Amino acid sequence: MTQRIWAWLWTLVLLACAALLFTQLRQADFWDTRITALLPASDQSSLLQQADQQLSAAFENQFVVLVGGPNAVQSAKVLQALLREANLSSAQTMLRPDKTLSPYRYGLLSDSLGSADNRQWLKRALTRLLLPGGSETLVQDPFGLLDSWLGERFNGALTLRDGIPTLRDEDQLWALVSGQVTGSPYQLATQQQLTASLAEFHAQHPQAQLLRSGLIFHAAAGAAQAQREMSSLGLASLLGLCLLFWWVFRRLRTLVQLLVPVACGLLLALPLTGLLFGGVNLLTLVFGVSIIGIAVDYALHLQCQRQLVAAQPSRQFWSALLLGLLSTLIAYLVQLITPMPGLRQMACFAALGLLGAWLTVRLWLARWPLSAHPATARLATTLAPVRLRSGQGWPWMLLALLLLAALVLIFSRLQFNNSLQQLNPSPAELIQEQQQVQTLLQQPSGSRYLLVRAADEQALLRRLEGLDPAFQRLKTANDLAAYQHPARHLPSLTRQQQAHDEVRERYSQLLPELRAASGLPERLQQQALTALDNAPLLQPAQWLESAEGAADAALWLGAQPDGVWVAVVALGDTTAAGAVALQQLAEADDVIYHDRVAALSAQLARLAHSMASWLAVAAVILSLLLCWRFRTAAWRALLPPLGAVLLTLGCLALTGGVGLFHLLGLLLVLGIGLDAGIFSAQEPDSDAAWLAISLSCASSLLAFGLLAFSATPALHFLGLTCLLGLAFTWALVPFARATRPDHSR
Amino acid sequence: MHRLLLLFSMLFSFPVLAALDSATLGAQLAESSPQCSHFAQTRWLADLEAELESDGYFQRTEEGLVWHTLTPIDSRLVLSADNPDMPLAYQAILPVLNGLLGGDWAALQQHFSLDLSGELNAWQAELAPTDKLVAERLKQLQVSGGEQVEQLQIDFVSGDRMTLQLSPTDCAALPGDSNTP
Repeated sequence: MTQRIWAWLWTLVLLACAALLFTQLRQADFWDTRITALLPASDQSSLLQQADQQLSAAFENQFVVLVGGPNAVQSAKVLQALLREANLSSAQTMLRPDKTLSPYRYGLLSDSLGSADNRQWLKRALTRLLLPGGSETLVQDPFGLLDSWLGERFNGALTLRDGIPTLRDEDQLWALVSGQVTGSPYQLATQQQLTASLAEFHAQHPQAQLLRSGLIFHAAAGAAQAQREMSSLGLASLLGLCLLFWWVFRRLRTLVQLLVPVACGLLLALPLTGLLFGGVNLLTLVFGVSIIGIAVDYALHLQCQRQLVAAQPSRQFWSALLLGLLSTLIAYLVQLITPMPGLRQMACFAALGLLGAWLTVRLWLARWPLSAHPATARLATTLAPVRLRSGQGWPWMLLALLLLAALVLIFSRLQFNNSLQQLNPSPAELIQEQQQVQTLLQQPSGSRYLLVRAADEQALLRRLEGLDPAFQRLKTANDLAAYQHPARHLPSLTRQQQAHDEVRERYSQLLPELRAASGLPERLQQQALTALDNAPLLQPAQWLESAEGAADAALWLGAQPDGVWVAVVALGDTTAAGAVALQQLAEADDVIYHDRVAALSAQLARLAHSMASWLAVAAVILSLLLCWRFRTAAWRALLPPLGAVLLTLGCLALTGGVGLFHLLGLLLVLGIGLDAGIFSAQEPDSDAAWLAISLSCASSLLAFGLLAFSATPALHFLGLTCLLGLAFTWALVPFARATRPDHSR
Repeated sequence: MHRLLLLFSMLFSFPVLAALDSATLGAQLAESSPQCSHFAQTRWLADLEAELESDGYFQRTEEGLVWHTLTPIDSRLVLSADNPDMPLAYQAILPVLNGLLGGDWAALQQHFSLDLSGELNAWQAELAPTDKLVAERLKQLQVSGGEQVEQLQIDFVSGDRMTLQLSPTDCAALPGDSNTP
């Protein structure tokens, strides 16, 4: 009677969850697609966080396409038009700050002009003067100071052809099309628009070669790959599961009964996780749904028990099933303590899902009518002899040797590997294209930088100017691909005043010569000097607030609460020698070196280490729990989960090392191994339990082992670990079911 | 009868009687634009209220237009987008000059609206920029000529003005380094 009340209560809970889910799904922001949500809540200083955020905002929404091949310029125009239609074009096709900087040109003296001698200055002026249609600004700037500055500091390599910025790399002419994403580059709709525009362009210009650079391309490639794999791997796994269960049970009703707990688990987990975390990350759903796959275990055990042993299972069976749930929950809830919001969300999701599935099995499934096919019993009988008999010594020897070998491998070779590069799902060609674009355009990637501090605004600009020669040397030696800092475009007032003085000096020496050579009137000299004397200096705010100065504003952190002024030096790729030199620069008190990729990798490493230690703690707790429960038979319960984890780690020690996603896979192996071990210890002689364990391993292998064939590194690592771990789990159960000497069959 | 036909065909093939449209003119200029030409440049500099005269020759080559001034000083410059010595503002003017002097009329019409008058052997053209980038610097162009472009005047937005008088010349007869550009 009370059973019936609990079953109804459970129905009510699920109905409430369904209603909650219905309202949640109507919210636009329920699904979160940001990969960054997976990453740890940052433990960096607020200054580094501010720099990271500002750089992300400046770099992530921009993208660049270089068009090559025949008629590159015309093709680029077509692409530009297509992007404009898709609302993806950038307002700024090329940085041309000539109008903004025009009044300040005398303070902006390029290095090349600064180091040129008087003869070269004069030749430059005459050339410009005699050019057909050139030199409109003769009086204002007879020596072309501004042109030299713009050429040296802004897109030096770019020249306009037909209004399209182009650059020449050996024989190849590249036309540049830049774009901007409004909103997030992770938005699927935006990605699809861009992909469609590029596809249309390819159809119109099949010969054109494209080099793509920008976060959105990587995000789109990742999303497309995930979609492809969802359809191929997902379909293969679903088909495999259906075939397996059909082969064993041969009743449609049984198939439905196996799936109902999983569906109910989802129905509980999805809205409640959404409620607790204010939304659900799509990755949580992907991993979480897989983890709920364990939920099939409970239904499988019940089904086998009911079909092969008794229609109403015994108390012992229910206590074993409860122990299975509790032990798995312990293994998963360990993740709740991690500092990664994404992992916490997944742990919560998985725990709720397992609980929901278990309750459904306990409260509903046991009461449902049973339909059995004789094939199931035949299969159980066929499988039953697969267990170790007493007196069979050599398999134990072999197992001991393997475990020993695994331990030796683990202690001698196992390494943590948490490089982000290893997890980068972007196709190699896209990464290579991006590097080529950055090299051609001399753009730093923004993934590593220096933070420079000074007491006030002008001191900061002067400090940057002081550091600049060091960067120049590294760049000339090819130890640094590119760099950028605000003082490259915005000289300190001191430097501007120096430039003014130098230009005045050159004017007084060269203008008479220019007049003599060209026959221009004397007015030239007076007017040019008047223009120079009346010219203002460029103030930081004027530049940083202008449209062309936006890129520098992103590198300008400005005054901090403690009164210190801070700016970023964005760095491109470096050689090893370059990295050492940059770190040496950062030994100064007012300079900090920060490598975002390395910092993130280090964070992942710390996380993996703490997960590994908590996994060990969980193993100890579980061992104690199972020892208390099964006493001398506890080894039967512990051998499958712990043995499988050890053997898997031994195998992984032979590959590239263990990262976060391997550990997530081990959690899964541990969960399924615990169920297998507990039922082996509870009923070592039960054919029904052995069939259920075999089915559970086989179905999980189909669900997760297939992920080993994923091209997304994270999923591949997870899949590989499951493939190995679940195979070992299954192979260890015959040991755990070994017949006792006193009661051999 | 045959004579009559001959007379007719002669009449109709006579250039003077051919209709003056930009396509015909473009074809003629592309056909007969000289490889090398003398120029006399007069520039009115509005800022200084002064005139600057120069002359020399230009030559069309693979790498671009080679502009060789002989007076007032000797100076040689390749007018090409790849030449780093070119002023940035010049990137807008370059296609115009290449179009005019190289006889690439079709390229010109991408940037200008064209008003033609006269006959095929004595024509005048007024060009007004339609391209925003060009219009920032050029107000209008006046071109005249016969078989080739003979005179060209550019009015700049800044008030400056440039006039070029062109006369075809034999490349081989040019002084200096004309054969090794």
